Amino acid sequence: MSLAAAPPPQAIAPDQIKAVSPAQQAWRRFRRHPLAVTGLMLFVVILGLTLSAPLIERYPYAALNLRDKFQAPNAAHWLGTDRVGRDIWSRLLHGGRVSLLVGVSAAAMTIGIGTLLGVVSGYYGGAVDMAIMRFADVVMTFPGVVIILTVATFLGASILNVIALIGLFGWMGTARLVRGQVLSLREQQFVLAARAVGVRDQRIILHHVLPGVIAPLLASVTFAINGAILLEAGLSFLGVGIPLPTPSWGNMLETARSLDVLQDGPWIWMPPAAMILITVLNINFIGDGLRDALDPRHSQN
Amino acid sequence: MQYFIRRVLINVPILLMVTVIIFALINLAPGNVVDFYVNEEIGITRADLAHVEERFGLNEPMPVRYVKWLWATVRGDLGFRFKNGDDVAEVLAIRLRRTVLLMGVSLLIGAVVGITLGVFIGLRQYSLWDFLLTGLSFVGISMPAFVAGIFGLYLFSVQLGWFPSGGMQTVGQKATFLDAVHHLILPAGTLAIFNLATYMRFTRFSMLEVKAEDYIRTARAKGLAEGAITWRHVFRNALLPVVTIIGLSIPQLVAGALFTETIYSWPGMGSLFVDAVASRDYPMVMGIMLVTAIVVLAANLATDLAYALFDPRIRYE
Repeated sequence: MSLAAAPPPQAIAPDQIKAVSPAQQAWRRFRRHPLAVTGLMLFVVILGLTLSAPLIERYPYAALNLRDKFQAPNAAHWLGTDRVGRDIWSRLLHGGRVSLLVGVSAAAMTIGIGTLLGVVSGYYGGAVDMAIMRFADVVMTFPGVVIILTVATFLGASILNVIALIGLFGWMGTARLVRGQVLSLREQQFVLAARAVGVRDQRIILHHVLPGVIAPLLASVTFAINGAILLEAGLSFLGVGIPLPTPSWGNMLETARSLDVLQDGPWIWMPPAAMILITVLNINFIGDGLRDALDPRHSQN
Repeated sequence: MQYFIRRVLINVPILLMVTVIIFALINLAPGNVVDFYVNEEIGITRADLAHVEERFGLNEPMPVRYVKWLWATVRGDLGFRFKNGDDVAEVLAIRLRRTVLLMGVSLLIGAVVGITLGVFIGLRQYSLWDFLLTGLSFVGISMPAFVAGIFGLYLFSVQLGWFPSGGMQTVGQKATFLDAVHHLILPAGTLAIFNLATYMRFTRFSMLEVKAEDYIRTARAKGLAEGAITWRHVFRNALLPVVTIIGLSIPQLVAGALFTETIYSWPGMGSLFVDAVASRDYPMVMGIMLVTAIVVLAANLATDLAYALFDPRIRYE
C-alpha cells in the first residue's frame, strides 16, 4: 500500500516564521495561475499602449484625408485607413482608451450602486430589503442591451450617457451578491458584539461588514468590467453608443456592417474586433485567477 | 402543486411592475406622440394637434393613460406601428416565431454539444483534451455575438461562400426545409458559441464537484462498476446545476439574438427591435419589451419548476 509516511516535522526557529497577510496569500496563489499572470501582463500592455496613444499615434485620430482613403496597411499608415482616410492605428489606440474608460467607469458605477443597495438591503432587511430586491427582479427581466438601447436613443449618444446607463441598469448582480454576503456577516459574533456594545450602524457597516464583502466583490469586478466593455461595444456597434468622430472599438467594428467594408476592407474592422476579443479574454483570465486566489476552495479546478 | 401555483403567482406583480416601467420609459421620451401626425403639406398643423390629443385621450393624466394602455394590452391590443400602421401584435407574433426558432436551435446546439464536451473533459481532468477545450471555452465566453457574427459572416459567407449572408430563405425559390437549414446554420451557430462555452465549463466543474462527493466514494466502495457510477450517479447529479445555468442564460440569449439577427438580417424580433428603436416606433418598442420580459420570466419559471421536479431534495413548505 502506498500510505506514504508524512515527512517528519522539522524544527523551525521562531524567527523564521513570517506572518503572511490574507492579501499576500491571495497574491501568491494568483501568481501560481499561469493564465492569470499572462492575462494580467497582456492587459497591462494593452492599457499601456492605449494610455500612451498621444505619444505613439502617427496622425490625429479624427483627421480626414480623402486622398489616402480606404488604403490597405502600408508604411505611412501601419494599419491602413478607413473610408474617409482616418488612420486606423491612431483610431485603434484612442478607441481603446474610450472602450477601457467606459468599461472601468461604468463597472465602478455598477459596483458602487450594487454595493450600496446590497449592504442596505442585507443589513437592514425588512421592507427596505423587500423593496430593493423586488426592484432588482423587475429590472433584471430586461436584458441590459434592450433597455439601454431604448433609453440611449431618447437621451442621445455620448460617452457620459453610455457610462451612466450601463451603471444604472447593471447593478443588480452585485447587489444580490453583496446582500447575500451581508446577510451571513450580520449574524456573526463580532457584529453582534459590536452592536451589543453600542457601536453605531454606520461604523459597523464600514468597519465590520464591508471588509468581509470585499473578497467576493473583487472577484466580480472583472465580470463587471467585461460586461461594461461589451455593452459599450454592442451599443456602438448598433450605432447608439459612442458618437463619431470619437473612436471606440465598438463603433470601429460597426463599419463592418456595410458589405463593402466587410468584404474589401478587413484591415478596418479586424483590429478592433481582435482587440475586443483579446481584452475581454485577458480580463476573463485575470478574473479566473482572482476567484481561485480569493477563494481557495475553488482552486481544485 | 401548491408550490407550483405560488411560483406562478409571484410573477403577476413583477409583470405589473414591468408594464409600469415600460410605460414610464416611453413617456419619458422627448417629443410628443402626436408630432408624428404633423404634416404641413397636407394641411395638418399644430393647431389641429390639440384636437387629436383630445380624441385619443392624450391630454389625460399619465395614470389614467397607463390604465387604459394596460387594459388594451391585456386584451391583446398592442396598437399600431408609427412607421407603417401595421398591427403591432400581428407583426410581433410572426417575428417572435422566427426568433424562437433561432434561439431554440442555438440553445439546443449549445446544450447538446456543451454538455457532451463538458462531461467528456470532466472525466478526463488535466488531460490534453481538458486543457485544449477549457482554453477554447475561454475564447468562447470572451466572444460577444457581434464579434462572432462579423467573423462568421466574413469567413463562411464572404470568403468561403458556404452559407448565404442573410435572410431566412433564398429569394425567388420555393421554401424548402434544406434551404431553411442552410440559412439557419450560420446565425444559430454564432448565437450558440457563448452558451456552448458556458455550459461546457459549468458541466465540467459540476462533474468534478460531484465526483468528490461522499456518496460517489460509497458507490465505489460497494463495488459498483465505474460506468454505472459515472452515468447513474455522477452525470445525473451533475446535470442539475446545469439546468439552472441554461435557464439563467435566456436573457443573454435574447440580447445575443438582437445582434445575430441584425448581422445576418434574420427577420426576427431582435432585428425588428433595433429597427423600431431607430425609427422611434414606440408602440413596437413597447410591445417587444413586454414580450422580452415575458419570455425571461417564463424561462425563470420553467427553470425553477424543472429544478423542483428533478431534485428530490427540494421540498417547499
